[in-house]
Amino acid sequence: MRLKQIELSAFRGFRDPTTIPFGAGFTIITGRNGSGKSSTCDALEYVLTRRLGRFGPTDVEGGERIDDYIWWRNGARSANKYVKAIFDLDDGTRGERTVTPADIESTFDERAFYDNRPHISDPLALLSQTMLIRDESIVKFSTDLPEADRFEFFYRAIGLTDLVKIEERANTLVKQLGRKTDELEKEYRQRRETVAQIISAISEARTTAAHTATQDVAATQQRLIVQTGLTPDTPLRQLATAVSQTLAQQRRRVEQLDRLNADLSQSRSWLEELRKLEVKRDAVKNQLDSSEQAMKTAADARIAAGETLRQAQIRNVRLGGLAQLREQGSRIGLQGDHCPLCGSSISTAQFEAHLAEIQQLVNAENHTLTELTALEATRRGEYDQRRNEYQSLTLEYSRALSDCETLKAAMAQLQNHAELLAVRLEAASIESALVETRKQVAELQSGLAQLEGSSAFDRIADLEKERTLAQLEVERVTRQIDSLSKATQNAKSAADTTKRVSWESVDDCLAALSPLLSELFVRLKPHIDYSEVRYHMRGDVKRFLSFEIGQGINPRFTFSSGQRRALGIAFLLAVYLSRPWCKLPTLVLDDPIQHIDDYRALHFAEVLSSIRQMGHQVVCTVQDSALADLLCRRLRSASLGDGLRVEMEYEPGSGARVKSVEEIGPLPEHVLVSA
Amino acid sequence: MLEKNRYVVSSRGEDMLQFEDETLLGFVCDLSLQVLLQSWSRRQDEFLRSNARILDNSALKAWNLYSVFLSSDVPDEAARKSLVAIEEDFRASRKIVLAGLQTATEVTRALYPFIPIQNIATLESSDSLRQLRNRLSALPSAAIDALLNERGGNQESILKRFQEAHEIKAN
Repeated sequence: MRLKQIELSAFRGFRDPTTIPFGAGFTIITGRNGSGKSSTCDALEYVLTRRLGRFGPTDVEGGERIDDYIWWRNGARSANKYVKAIFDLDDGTRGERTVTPADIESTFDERAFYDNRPHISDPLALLSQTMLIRDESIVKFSTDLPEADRFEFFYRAIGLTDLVKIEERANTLVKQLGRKTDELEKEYRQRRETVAQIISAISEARTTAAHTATQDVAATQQRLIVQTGLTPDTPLRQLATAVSQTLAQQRRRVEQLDRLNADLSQSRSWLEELRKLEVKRDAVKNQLDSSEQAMKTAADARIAAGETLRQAQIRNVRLGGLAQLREQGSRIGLQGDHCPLCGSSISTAQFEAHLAEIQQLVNAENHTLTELTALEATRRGEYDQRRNEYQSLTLEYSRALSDCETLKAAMAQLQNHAELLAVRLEAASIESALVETRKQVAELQSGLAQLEGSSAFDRIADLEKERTLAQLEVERVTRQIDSLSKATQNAKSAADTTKRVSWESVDDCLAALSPLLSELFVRLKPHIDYSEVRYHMRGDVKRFLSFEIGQGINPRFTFSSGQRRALGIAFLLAVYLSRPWCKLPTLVLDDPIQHIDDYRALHFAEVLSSIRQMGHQVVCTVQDSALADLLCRRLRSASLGDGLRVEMEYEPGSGARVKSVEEIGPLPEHVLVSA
Repeated sequence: MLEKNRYVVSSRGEDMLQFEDETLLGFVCDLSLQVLLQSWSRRQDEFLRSNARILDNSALKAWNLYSVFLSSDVPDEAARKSLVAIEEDFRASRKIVLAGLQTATEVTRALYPFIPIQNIATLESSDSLRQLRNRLSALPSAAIDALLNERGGNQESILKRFQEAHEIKAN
């Protein structure tokens, strides 16, 4: 199985549809920063796993995560977003696997990538994690990572995630069972408290029974049946309940009779008070009647004065016209011997006398009108005063009436209480009833005590049954606590055992890997003085993985960054080469040669060549063009499959693209021999 | 070793072999340490001179020319430094210079740049679940099934099954 090509569009650094071909033998991808080398590796990882493992789920910046940057962000339509990987399958057919933002499609079964082994829970993730050697993973294994984190990385890289899950599951079980145990312990305490209460009640009942057992219960029972009005066959406990109720009623009756007695003493003054109130009421009534009469008289006088005034006002209007005529006549004066108004023959003396007579008449009428107006105002004032007096007396009468009624109601209520209590509203009658009721209370109390003593035997039996049931509940809860305790113990043990088994598996894997790691270390020669590397695992609670070169020398503090990277590459290559389940022999290295000198770059090329000699397809991205030339020269081989050199570039505005694809053909054979 | 890995190998005198495959070519000398230190440059030059025409005609392949100098003599510190210096001299060919080679394994290690990876390992974790099941055999089998959860199910159902496996029945 070989990776044939990747087709992508609007993915990571690529905007336009792009095809990246791969040689069956090797492919060297070169280009500057941002030209799409890493995006090509991302595409392969994404098409296999639909995620980019070098960004963790916790990689969030400004609320954004890698998922927001998978697809080209500047306005590409969803229909144009895809990544497709094409594989040459072992059966000679071609398989395609396509991922879009919405879907994943494959023309072949993904089991073509791996042997179907049940122990690998996410084979494509493991495949991708181990075939893709990227700067991030090299750094993690370059010994720059703390020992514990390095162990964790390796642990997961070799596919022990199932054991990790089981251990997590067991630890969760421990916590869940602990919580359940706490709940049950609480229930246990409550149930034990209930048992203790029942035992205490039994003890009390026994004491009561012991005190009253010898008394004559039968006679008392007979008497109480009569008192409570029950039938003779009423059970003892039912009778006791009825007696309790009757006793309570009789006690209430005593209280009510006491209160009635007190109210009766107080009511002796009520009759005198009522008489006074009635006298006052009647007096006010007389005043009110007089006031009403006076008000009516004043009203008549006011109406009469009003009418007289109105008649005078009508007359006055008529005299007003006459006064105007006189004024005009006076102003015009006599016209010869004729009146200026009617033209009749009249002398000057007569005319003047006539005018004076009219003036006198007008003056007299005006005076009368003034007097009548004043009289009407006086009558109105008198009426208002009488009306106010009447209203005030009406209010006072209403109050007097109300006071009388209130007192009468209180007296009626007292009478009513007396009737309810079946007594006359007299001190002697109430006193007699009180004596009788108190006697009944005493008899009932005594009878009830005897009954309780007798019914205590029944109660003891009932309580014993309750205790048995409560005890059974306690035992049930105890059993549950025991089983939970056992389960918790087993869950803890399972968590520890799982951890131990997984550590042993890691240990076994490291032991198996050790010779290969040593060989790769020798081949890559990170350091002239050290040709051996050993792994070292320690820790009980937490595990640590470290490397040793020479005698106990830690490369982390001895090697340069380039040398540490070489060691990291050796480890990752060892893991890549040790996957018997994998059926896709494609190694992808994303810019692995950084901080590595020419001498060690040559060693790296030789190692890749050796891996290629094993039939692996090698894909390597490098930034340096000369390094790409070196790799192309060193990896070319006709018999091991053709090679390609793909040059990529970044085009401003449209992103990454393939600039050129060059086939790397075979070299001449048998050169020396032919010589 | 080289022939086993599909190289064409032929002799060039008593202490020298030449080898070639479709990618690279070169020669191997087996010398005493003293001779190696004295003659490595001359021997390389002689090889280049005698193959000058061929290498000119196959210039691309000539980039993959290896001069391999091996010795069974154990070097002292000074000699070791000299050997490193020879290896780091990239003039004309890539040099592989190793001394103190006593065993076939050491020779194989010297030839690592020309041969496939030798110590292929197998990382097998397939037995870990079986091992775990065996180790947990003291637990009730239903509890182990719940824990391994091979049937699938959420944590609540696992808890329920695990608990049921430990339930103590009343008499």
